[in-house]
Amino acid sequence: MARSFPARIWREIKASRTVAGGLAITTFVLLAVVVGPSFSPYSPTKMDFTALLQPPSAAHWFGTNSNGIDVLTRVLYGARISLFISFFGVTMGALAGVLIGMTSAYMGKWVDAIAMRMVDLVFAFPIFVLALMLMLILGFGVQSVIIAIALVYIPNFARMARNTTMSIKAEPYIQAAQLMGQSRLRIMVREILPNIAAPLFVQFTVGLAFGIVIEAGLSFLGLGVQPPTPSLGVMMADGKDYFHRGPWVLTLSGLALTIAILGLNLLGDGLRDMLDPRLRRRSAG
Amino acid sequence: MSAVTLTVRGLDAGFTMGGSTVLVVRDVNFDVRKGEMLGIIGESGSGKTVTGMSLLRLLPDNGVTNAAEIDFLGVDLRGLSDEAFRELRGRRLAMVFQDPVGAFNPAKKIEWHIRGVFDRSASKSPAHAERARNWRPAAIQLLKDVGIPQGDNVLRQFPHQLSGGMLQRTLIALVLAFEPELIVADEPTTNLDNIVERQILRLFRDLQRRLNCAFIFITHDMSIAHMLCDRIAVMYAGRIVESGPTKDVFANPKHPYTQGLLASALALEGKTDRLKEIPGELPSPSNLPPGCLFEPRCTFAKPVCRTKPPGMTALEGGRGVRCVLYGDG
Amino acid sequence: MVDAAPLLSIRNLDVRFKLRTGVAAALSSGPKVLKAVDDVSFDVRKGEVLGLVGESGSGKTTIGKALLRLYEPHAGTILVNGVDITHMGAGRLKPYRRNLQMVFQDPLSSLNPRHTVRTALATPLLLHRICANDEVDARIDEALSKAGLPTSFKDRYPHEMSGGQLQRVAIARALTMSPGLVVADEPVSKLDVSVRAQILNLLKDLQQKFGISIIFITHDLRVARYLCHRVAVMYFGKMVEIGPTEELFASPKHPYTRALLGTLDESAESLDGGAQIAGEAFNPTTDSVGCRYLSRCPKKVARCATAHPEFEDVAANHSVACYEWRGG
Repeated sequence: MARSFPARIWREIKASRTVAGGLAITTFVLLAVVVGPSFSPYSPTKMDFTALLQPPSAAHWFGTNSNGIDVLTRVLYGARISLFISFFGVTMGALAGVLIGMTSAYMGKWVDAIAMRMVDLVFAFPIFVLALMLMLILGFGVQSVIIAIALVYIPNFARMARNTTMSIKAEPYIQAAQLMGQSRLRIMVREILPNIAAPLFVQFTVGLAFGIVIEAGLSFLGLGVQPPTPSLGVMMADGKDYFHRGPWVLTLSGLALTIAILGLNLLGDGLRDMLDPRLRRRSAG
Repeated sequence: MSAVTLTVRGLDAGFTMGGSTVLVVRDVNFDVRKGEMLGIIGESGSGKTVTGMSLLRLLPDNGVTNAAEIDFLGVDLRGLSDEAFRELRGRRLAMVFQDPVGAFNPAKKIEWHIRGVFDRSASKSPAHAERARNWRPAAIQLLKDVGIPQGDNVLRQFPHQLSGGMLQRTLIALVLAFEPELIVADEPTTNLDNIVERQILRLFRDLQRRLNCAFIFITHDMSIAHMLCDRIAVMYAGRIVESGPTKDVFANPKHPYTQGLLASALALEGKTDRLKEIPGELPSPSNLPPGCLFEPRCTFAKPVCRTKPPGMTALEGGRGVRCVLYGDG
Repeated sequence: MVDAAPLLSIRNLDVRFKLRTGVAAALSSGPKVLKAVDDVSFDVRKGEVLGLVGESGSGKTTIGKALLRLYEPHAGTILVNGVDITHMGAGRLKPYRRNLQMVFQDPLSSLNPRHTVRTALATPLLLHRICANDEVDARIDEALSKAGLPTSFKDRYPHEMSGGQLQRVAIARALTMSPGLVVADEPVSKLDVSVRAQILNLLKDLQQKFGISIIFITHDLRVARYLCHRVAVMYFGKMVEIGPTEELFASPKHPYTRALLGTLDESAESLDGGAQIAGEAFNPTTDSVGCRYLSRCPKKVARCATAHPEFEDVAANHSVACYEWRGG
């Protein structure tokens, strides 16, 4: 009973295989992406015409690409950029979405009506189509990809933040906070946010994975990150062109993408399952 | 004395969670006779509800029930298959819950529910068969019996169209038609307002007299038990701590817990300056005191109470108490 | 003791809830508002405990929350020490908030599950600058011991406490603000029977020690009798009778008050005589004119159907809203 909160969380993480697996893979990916490149003897952009399209070997674990660049090095750098883009995009989307959602729920009335109809409107589009459309409006490049991911995610987070806020804003402890004379802003930040943070965090984790997919998709089509800057999407687009002569380029960068997404998805799903029964228990009273 | 309908001996019940079993009911023993209303009194967490649910096999999937004996009119309920038990529950045992809504099929009108009971009991006698055939007047009369004069209307309504009090009345009408030999009612009036509650309690009294069945009434409210029950069993943290005829227990409670509960309940009857308190809080079922369960809150506790759980001591007049103040048991 | 000057004056309070909004309201022919509280007036004096008694749906909790400005009143005025707070904006209202506090029915949900007891109690102290920052801990200890809890409870989360302990924390939180008036909304109805007496005694002690006024909302007449100086009886949004506790219990005038008091008889014999059935309750969504209690009243006369009766004085401080209170 008296066990501390972090200790309980840690125990539950250990009890859930999905979370543990997801956490392990994600940690591995993050480590590889952050520290990995500094161990690589190769440059991610410098071409080496003496080693074009070499298959995987002891010197080049993932082989080289059509410009003679080490694929593993490029994958590590590329994944770093992909993750960075996804992280910033989803973070911006989450911040804006949560702000909109909580305000909408707390203000109610016409604010809520307008905000939620707009959210519905955006929801009506398939996410990738929406991202494509935004790229055409915003122009190509890294910044645009980040903004596109953010915009795509705002409705998700807004909807979730609104619904969770709605479900607790009538709780007596919120009324107690009002009675103390706390301002609306303070109540939202101090009383409501900590109680809706868990599901939002799950959403964030899953969002991170899909953010990578969006980035890869856009870059694959040539709308996102522009070569020679590596990103997983750019590399896959590159690898597709000479798949017959060097299948490892596309396959192995695709594999890297899969692992990164798998880890985040497992983590998100596991966390959702871990948090869900607790939410149900609380509502059952 | 009339025949015993239900005998319960050595009943343990609880739940398995994460591989370990937590018993919330331990060593519960009682009899209920035909025509008798037994009150099981306890606070939340006392195990009173789990006792009722385990007897009727209504515990959730992780529920555990063990007993030395559960005998219902010569049938050993422990050995019954789930199939046979459901059959029994549909014909001879009835349960009334706190929330009557759950007892009704929300998609069916009230008449469907009443006809169902009539049809199921049609084989009992020619009169029953006639009732099933010509059901409408019988149903209207039945509703009138439970204080619903506009029965014709109610028959055509869906459960959600009726208020809580009306629904509880209708449920009592169903039980009345169904003529069970044992009724278990778990806090059936807790959600109702004072005046409606009073009316429903009257109906329960009426119902039990008409059917002359055995009746277990589970409640946390001493005053309801006082009004309604012939005998009571007081539960604390999963055990019966005192039992006996209601009048005697109320006039002269033996167990310090019963004394405390009655003192604060009775003090509210008249004008008092200060209520008598029972200090402390209920123990958690996963962390029970090793000796007497009430020892940490008891003003009469002796050193022995801290180490040795007291047994049930039989007293005169069909009473029993689980406390060292009255012999060792 | 009870002082003569009213701390709180409620005049002609009306609270309405929208039953249907938007498209549903346009399409439906039924009523669109529910009058949860209908033209209610009363005073609470300094150091007085006023009981609001009634069944669910009688509007007693709504009155409590409306006078605390948790619900917006439709009409009427709320005066606190003579100051009209009915339409005050959040900023101007803040200094008055301290003075008006509430103890909720469900103690678990009245405390933020993510905050420790320390945080819950420190928040009002800091927010209203009640004490210097380095005195906060000492103030928290003081409030906890007033509420009968060990100071070691400071680091507990709500889920680590029992119902009785939680309610003590909630009371301690209200006390940190030294309120003049506390609305206690069924504060013991969700607690275990054996700890109810503890909390009732605590409230009584604190009330007497600090001269706090309490509006005690309950459906339990016995509890009201124990704690309250005066009792007001509510029925479907209307106050039907108000008077000093002992007088009201000894000689109730409104037929509804009599019916309620009738449920206090706990003898086994009181259940005999079969099921006595009163008519259907007032339907707040369809019925509108006439006395709210009309459909159930054994004493109704013709004019009861024309308008809800005004309050008439029975004795000093004792009023009743019934045309026929004199008879029988």
